[in-house]
Amino acid sequence: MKRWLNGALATCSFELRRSFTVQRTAVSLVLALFPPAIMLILILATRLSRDFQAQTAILDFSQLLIIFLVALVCLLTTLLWATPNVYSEMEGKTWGFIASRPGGRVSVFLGKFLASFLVSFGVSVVAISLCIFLVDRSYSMPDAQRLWLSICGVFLLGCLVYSAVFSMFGTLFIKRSMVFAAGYLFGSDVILASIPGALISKLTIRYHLQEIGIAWIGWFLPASYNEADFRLFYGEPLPTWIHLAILLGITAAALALGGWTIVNREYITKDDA
Amino acid sequence: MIELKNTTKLYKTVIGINDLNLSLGPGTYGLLGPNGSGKTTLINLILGQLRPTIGSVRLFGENPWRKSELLHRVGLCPAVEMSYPRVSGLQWVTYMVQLHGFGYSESVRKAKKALETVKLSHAMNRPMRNYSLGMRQRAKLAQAIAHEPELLILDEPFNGLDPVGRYDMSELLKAWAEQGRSLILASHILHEVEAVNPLFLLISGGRLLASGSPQEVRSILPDSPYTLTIRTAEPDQAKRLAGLMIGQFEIESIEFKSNNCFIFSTPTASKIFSRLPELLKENEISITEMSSEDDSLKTLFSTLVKMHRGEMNRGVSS
Repeated sequence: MKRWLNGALATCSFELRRSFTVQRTAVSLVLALFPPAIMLILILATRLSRDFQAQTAILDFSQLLIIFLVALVCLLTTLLWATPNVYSEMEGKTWGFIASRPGGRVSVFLGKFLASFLVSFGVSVVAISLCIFLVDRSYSMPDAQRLWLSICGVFLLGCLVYSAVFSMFGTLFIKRSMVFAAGYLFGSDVILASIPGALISKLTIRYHLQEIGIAWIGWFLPASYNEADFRLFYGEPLPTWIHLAILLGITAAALALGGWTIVNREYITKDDA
Repeated sequence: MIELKNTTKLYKTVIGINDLNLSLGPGTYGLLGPNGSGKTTLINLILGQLRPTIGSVRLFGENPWRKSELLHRVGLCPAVEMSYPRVSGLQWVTYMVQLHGFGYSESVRKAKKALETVKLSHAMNRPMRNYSLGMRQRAKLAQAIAHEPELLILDEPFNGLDPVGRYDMSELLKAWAEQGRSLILASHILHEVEAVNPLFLLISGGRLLASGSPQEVRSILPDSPYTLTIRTAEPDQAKRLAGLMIGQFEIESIEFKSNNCFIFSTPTASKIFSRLPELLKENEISITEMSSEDDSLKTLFSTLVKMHRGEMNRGVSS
């Protein structure tokens, strides 16, 4: 266990160091700046239009918009960093060096998961901070600091659980892991999670994050959407600790399955066959 | 140290290793075989990276597939050309040592020592994208020896090395073997492996064709069917020499490429090599070129395959 953890920390540090390139930094920067850029465009557009109703709508939708935009960026970053965990090593022909180390496979799996979590959370925090700063400067957001903290908290969980799930996909599907992970995301967290009242929607990661978000941030959907109506369709929430435990359970299960797969699977390279 | 019992490895319908039985104690071994003969598959089976389809593999008495801790006792230098372009040799070797469970500072110390051993200290802080092929090969060797393993497995370590690099590599491997540590050297070039004086394991088509000392292997070579080219100094001498040779030696085929050059095939090359100078002197014939079209290993393997099929009787232990 100690060897795995040491190896995971070494892998994480190595991954971050070797990825600190102009190209990768630029991609992370573009992703981090995308949500605030959209927010800025919307704020400027409504200001220029001098439409009071539009300005109120921006404030009303601001929390949802921030969460939606940052979620897009967070998921994309996690997809980019976590899913190619095995494939990138096989493609770079470095798999043989890693796999011939005791515990090398698990160390790389955990290390890359950790790197994905750190990068996606870092990108999310930058994006959240800039978005809240912009909205607060333009419309004096009430309790901006508390809002920042609670959104960051939700994204901390989101980055953790999605990094684990996508890392698992990386070990299960080698060549098209990103396609499978994106397919899962769309099928589960976009389609299934949106089915009102269905039990299956409660099995999705989005449902639990959404409930934790409502508990920590407060009602972040626009005021025009009534929470009572929402509850009528989606049911009453479970206690927050249960949602939290389920998300941490999914993380642990994904890491366990991914770790088991990477240890017990034969990864055959072109050179072998 | 290594034991394979009736081991077969299939990649779907393709045979990687075919019913291989092998028992190797500590020592120096040269794993020889043409490209695609199953050398890398065998190495991956030994290291537990692949699971045998049939049979069993034991490394230090245990199943390597189930016990990755065994890998701490092994250093592997794969044949592949890896790409970590932006990291330095020192960073990479340090990371590789860390994966063995060593702390950071100890890993740096071991990495520096290994890079010094392979004569790469001067470039250890440079990004690996600026390394020549030979330097990358040495970095690969450094990561294999840095944690001081008992057994070193090298897959085509001479690839891309210039003559000086090849010499340095041979010297390094000789020194490793002289320390009493075990070594498995996989290659498709006979004379490179021969330099470290190992016990040869000859593999082809996923089968172990033969094993033996360098002398035993060499003993097969001279009498293997050999294709030789001879070029005479004067045009009229070629036909005369060919006639003399047909009368004195066993010649399977002969073909004239020009009026001073002919190619012939013989199963008694060693006899020709010993008698030819005398024959040339007696008949006042001078030659400007005598060369073999076959490289030694190609000849050796075609001989071994023929022995394996029962087309030839001579052989080494198999």
